[in-house]
Amino acid sequence: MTWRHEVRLLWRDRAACVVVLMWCAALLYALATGWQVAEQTRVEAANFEKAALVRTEAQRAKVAQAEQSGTVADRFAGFPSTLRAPAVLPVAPLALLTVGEMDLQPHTATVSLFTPAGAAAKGQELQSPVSLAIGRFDLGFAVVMLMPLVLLALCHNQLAEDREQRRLPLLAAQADVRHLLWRRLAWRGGAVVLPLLILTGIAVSLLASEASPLSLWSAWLAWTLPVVAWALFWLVLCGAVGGRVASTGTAAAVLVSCWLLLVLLLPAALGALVQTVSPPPSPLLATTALRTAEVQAERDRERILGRYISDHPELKISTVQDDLAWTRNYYAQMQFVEGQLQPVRAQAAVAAQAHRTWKSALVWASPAQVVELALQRAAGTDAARYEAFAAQRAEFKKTWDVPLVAPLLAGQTVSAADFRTLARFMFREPAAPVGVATAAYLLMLAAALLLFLRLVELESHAKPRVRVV
Amino acid sequence: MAASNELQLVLQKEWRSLARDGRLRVLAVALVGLLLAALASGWNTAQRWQADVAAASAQDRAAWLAQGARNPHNAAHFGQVAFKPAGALAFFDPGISATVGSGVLMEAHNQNPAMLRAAEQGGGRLGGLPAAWLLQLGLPLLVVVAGYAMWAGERESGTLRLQLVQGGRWWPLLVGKAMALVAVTATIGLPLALGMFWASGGGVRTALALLAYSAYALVWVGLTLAVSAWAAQARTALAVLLALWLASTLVLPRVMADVAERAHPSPLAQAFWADVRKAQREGIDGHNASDARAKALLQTTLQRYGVSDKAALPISFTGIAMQAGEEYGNQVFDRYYGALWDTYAAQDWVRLGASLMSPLPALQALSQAAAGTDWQHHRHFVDAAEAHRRALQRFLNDDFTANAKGNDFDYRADPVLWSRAPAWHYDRPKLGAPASPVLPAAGVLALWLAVVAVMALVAARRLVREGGR
Repeated sequence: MTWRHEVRLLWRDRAACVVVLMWCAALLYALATGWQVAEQTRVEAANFEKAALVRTEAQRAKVAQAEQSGTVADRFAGFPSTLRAPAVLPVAPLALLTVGEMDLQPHTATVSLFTPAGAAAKGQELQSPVSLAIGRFDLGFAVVMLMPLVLLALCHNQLAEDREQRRLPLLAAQADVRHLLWRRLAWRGGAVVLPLLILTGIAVSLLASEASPLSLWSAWLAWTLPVVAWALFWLVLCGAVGGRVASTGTAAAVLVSCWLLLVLLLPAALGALVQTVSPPPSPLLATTALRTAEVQAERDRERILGRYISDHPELKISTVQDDLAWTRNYYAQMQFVEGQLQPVRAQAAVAAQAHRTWKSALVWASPAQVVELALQRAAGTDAARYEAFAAQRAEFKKTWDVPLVAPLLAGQTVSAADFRTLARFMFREPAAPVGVATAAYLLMLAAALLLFLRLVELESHAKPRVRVV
Repeated sequence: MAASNELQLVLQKEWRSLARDGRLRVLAVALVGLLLAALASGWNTAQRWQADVAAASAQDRAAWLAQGARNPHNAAHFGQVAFKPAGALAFFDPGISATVGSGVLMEAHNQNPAMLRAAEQGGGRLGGLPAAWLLQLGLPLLVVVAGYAMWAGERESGTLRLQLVQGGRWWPLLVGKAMALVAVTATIGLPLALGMFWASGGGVRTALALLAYSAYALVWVGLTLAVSAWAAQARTALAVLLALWLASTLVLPRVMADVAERAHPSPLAQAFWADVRKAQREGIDGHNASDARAKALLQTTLQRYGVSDKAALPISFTGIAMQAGEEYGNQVFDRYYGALWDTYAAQDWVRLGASLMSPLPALQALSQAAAGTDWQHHRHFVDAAEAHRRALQRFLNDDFTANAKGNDFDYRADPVLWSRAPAWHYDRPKLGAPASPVLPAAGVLALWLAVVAVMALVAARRLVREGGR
């Protein structure tokens, strides 16, 4: 049987065996790294939520005690501006497969009447900036950067070496060389992709107890589709180059050049292009705009509160100058600041949208970036999920504020029973990750590559698809 | 034949062979083009950043001055923001700029970590196509492609034996080949050097960066010649060199970043701040006069002024308590941030230790130090911001103490006070000011140079002694 022969050949190729073994070791290491980062993030988010719930419960107990005894031990207990809700972005179950933005973006935030809309938790920026800049050795890195190289190492010499060793005419006389080439590529590609699928499959099955199996396996499928398509793309490239060039050296040079161009240079060049053509809005100027508005609000606080009272006759706003009078002032000031920032935010949103549009349009020019993005999306560590978190936080703040504004302005506290009715943040996952589009894109690229080579062949009326020397 | 003539002949021959190599020409032209594009793109980004920093700093100063009559403690909470200027050669090597914050809020009671990380704002980890990154990856590749066959190819084709039969000696052959490779790297280095000197206006930093990259190129020249002389075939030499390149430039930095994090883990933000708050609670709380420490402080103050009652004090005790709280807080921050900086420094040493396996970490340390974009330069900035915060808080608390007697938080300071308060100003430090590990990194690169020189020498002598077989 021919397949047995191919397996034997692969097994006897010591260099290929070493490459596959090193690849498997790299996969294990990458999975361990991803697991560590995901677990650390999960623990931190859980601690944050737990601490917030403990704090709220302590406050509720104080209020309940005050209600029972009729004496107020803490005059701020139960006051609306002191209540806080934790907003936590759950770590996606498959985050261990691709770290993506997980170690950069905030997973937690505190929402209260006095936190600005969309503000993340302060003081989270403690990770080593050097490690962050270098990036993680996770499965995303292994798939996008290393897998093509492993495939090149195993497949670059297919047919080219036979031609060099003058075995090709013999092979051509015995079998269809094209079939032979694709069969060899399939075996070698399988030796690279299968360990990855098995390893991630085992990891997912171990996670099955933590999340719904259906969503977990569908996310895994969405993660593996781009992986398989990316591998197919490189196998087609290996086949196309190896089947046409005269020597293994030339094949290796061409393929490594393709890797450099597609995996390293193109994504970086496109990133630079987007930064130059449509840079993201400056966070510096947004910060100073906020502070300028805050100063103005502080200077005009009396006038702002007066205007707020006259603009909102439907609210019973206390004008008693007690210890908590500043909170009413401050709330009115915050509304003023929000109003002042509207044009600045709108301008920043336009710039951010333009940046995103450029980015998402140009990403299709770089297959490596398409794969990276698809892996992050399937793993739940892409920028879009964090943007959704920020948007949902802002939305939640509105819900949180609604029942608390009236008591705050009226100088009232929240009762112990009301604590149970306070809104709770629940993250709604954005639209399900789709790896099919990426897989289809990569397969189309591979098909286009084959078609192009076929057309070139027909054009030249020349050599057969596989040159036999 | 005179040695100089022999050397000249070898150099001429090697240079002619290299000049005829079309692949090399394409690679060199592509690299120069990309480098110039990267410098232009980096220059544009750095200029935009500097303009943003200047505008934001001016706006923040204006907001500070526009506070009007206000309690100094309110102003202390409003604080000032220190915006970080781009590193001196950030256009060439942005280093860790994207993953460290670019602004520090200098407010009462808190030493905040730097916020506004570019990588969080959609800038990505790399932030485009830095020229330094291109050189770190591209320069070794160029040397490898140019030099892998210099010994091995001649041995395979038999021309080396011919040269030796005609009286060729090992050292003119080795030096000639090395000089030819140096000439190839100079074709890249010259436009780069011109571009950098033009963009930076010259200076020690540019000279250091160019020197470091020259040493890096020389290391790869030596390594390439050594491997080429050891390898039996040019193909083997190329495979080994490409594997070394891949391991040292792409795999090792990420693995070592992981190892450094595992060996010296960065603290979790939640735990870090919980510890800081706990330590602060054990000290004097400037807002809480019933605190035991505050009582002791009151006794000391009463004794100092020779009065028996707080009301008889000629100053505001609240101001004194707040400053004492700041000073205790400073001790707490010194302890916890000190431990954090020590952790980062330990991680840096682990990564620098990896330079013994690859010259890249040492080069990166030198390049980022020269560019002013390494961790130590960032720490210089945050330390300066913290020193300013402490001076500002002391100034405001002193005014509170002197003028708020009897009014405390109802006291409104004259707006002139804000213009008399310390103003934030930060100039980029001189090269030696931050404690960048320039000397150890330079030492490691020098060690590499010595080791590869010996390797190339031994390999060349061995090959020549064996008659080029």
